[in-house]
Amino acid sequence: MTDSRPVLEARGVSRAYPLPRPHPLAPRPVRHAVADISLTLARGESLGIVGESGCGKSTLARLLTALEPPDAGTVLIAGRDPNALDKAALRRLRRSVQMVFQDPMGSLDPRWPVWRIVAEPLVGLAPEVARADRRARVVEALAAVGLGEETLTRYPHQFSGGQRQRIAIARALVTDPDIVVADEPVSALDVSVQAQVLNLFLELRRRRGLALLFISHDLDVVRHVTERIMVMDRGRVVEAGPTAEVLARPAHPHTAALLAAVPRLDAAWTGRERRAAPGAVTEHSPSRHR
Amino acid sequence: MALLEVSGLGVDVAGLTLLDGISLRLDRGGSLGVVGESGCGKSLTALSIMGLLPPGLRPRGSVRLDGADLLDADDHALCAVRGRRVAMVFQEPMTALNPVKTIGAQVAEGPRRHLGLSRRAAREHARAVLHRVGLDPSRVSPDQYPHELSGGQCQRVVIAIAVACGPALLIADEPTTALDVSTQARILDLILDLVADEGMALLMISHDMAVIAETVTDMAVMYAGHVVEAGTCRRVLGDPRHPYTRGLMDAMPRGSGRPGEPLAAIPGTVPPPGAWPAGCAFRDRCPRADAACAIRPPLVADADGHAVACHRPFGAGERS
Repeated sequence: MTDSRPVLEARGVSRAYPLPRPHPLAPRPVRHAVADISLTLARGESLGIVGESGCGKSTLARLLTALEPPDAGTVLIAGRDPNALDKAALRRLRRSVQMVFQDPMGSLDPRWPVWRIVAEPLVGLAPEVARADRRARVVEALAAVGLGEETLTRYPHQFSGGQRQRIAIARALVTDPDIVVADEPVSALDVSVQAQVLNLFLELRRRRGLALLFISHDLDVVRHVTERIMVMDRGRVVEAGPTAEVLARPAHPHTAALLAAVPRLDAAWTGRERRAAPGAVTEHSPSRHR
Repeated sequence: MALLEVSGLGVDVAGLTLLDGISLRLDRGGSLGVVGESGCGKSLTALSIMGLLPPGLRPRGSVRLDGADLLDADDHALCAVRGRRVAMVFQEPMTALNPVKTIGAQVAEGPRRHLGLSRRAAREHARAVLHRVGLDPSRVSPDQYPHELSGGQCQRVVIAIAVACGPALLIADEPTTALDVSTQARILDLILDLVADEGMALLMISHDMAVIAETVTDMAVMYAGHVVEAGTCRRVLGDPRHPYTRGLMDAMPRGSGRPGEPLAAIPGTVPPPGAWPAGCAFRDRCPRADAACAIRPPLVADADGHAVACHRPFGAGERS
């Protein structure tokens, strides 16, 4: 029987952060990092979230993975509100949604061997898994990302960037999640290695039926790995729909401006036009970005 | 005479070769791109030209600017060149700037030293240059500090510092890597405007072939410390001959296949210096490699100046 309920859902979630006061007596300004966003992710589906840095993509990821509670609205993971659960129930729920971060060096503890890094979610979220079974689960997760048992006792610095990102993906897979939220997972990688890691995401989706929330500023990458897309600007969704359609015929000027900004190989023979659409997207000082 | 002529440039450290046989030529007002993955030696090439190699790294060959060899030059002579004749835009705008000096003071430093301007004249000059790079004094004051600016604005300051003394050659080392696409487009627009207005030559270093395609007319592809293919962008990108160049282009999501289908990834990873295979450094990862590749192929140019270092190159127009 297939389950038609979404594995991940957000209903009108918002999150604002206080900014420093401009002077001691002024009211505290806030930045609406995420403003009233709703989305659903079905089992096995892939959704890309794109936008400029500071548009709220990563904050949205933190809300969806229950790393932070929203100020308003509800997040539902497998139909349950993580922010309304007790600790034990939340731990069980967290097994079904795992994250992969951008910087594979910064997200892996340099003093831990690979087996300990990959086993950590099991230790924290699935304490009932016996020690003896942990090793088998870790080996299986590493195998799923193409790493052999010989890597178990090695340390992060002994791996290349692409291999480190594989380790981070293995860590996300070890609890056998339904959803993986990947925040810029390939932007720190070289092109040839980026292709390997993107292929791994495609393969894992196909083999394991993973739902994938893929956050990236790279529209070409998102076009390749996702079925649906959401374009964000300053905390809001400005356009959403099937990825191929939205990127082929953008309806919102912000999407069009993002697309126009992507550098293109064929500029080598067609010549370059000015890419930046003045006015469509403005460059903010951090202090002016409200 | 070429503005910049790099020939047979190599860099060694403690018996290890990091860079070997690099030859590049850039005419006055011309533009050249160097593309490659991390660890291929593209930044080392730039640092060698600037005479900024870290201690312990020894260059060989020659780097001639206006005919004078920079590798032989003493510190005094180099100081007269750096910032004045050749200037560099670095990758990380936040770390390239001094956090405890105002942006105006940082831009004024070069003109004070190289152009002999008074403190007041240098400050005025800095203000004008900051305005020129798009930092309107009514919105971003020269008296502000780097932490008060966004990444794109900081990169504009770094560019202002580089162009403040009107150099003949601007070296941009991954100038937009830390920025998102929209900011990247604006910074590239700015660099191209400045280069065109001031008649500067541009050496653009990037891992992104599309950035190279958009900003320069000639390019060199580097792999494991060597140039493997070079020529005009039109030729190199339109008809890539080296399997590595071809592999990089096919690995890009826009380059091959339909959404959801596996990308043509290059197997393996770039070997670190010291682990380069003998002969062609790419042969371990190359689908076309055979016994001939155990001997390093020379970089050979055709009549149009399209050069490739490969024993088994793709033929003109051949599909991969």
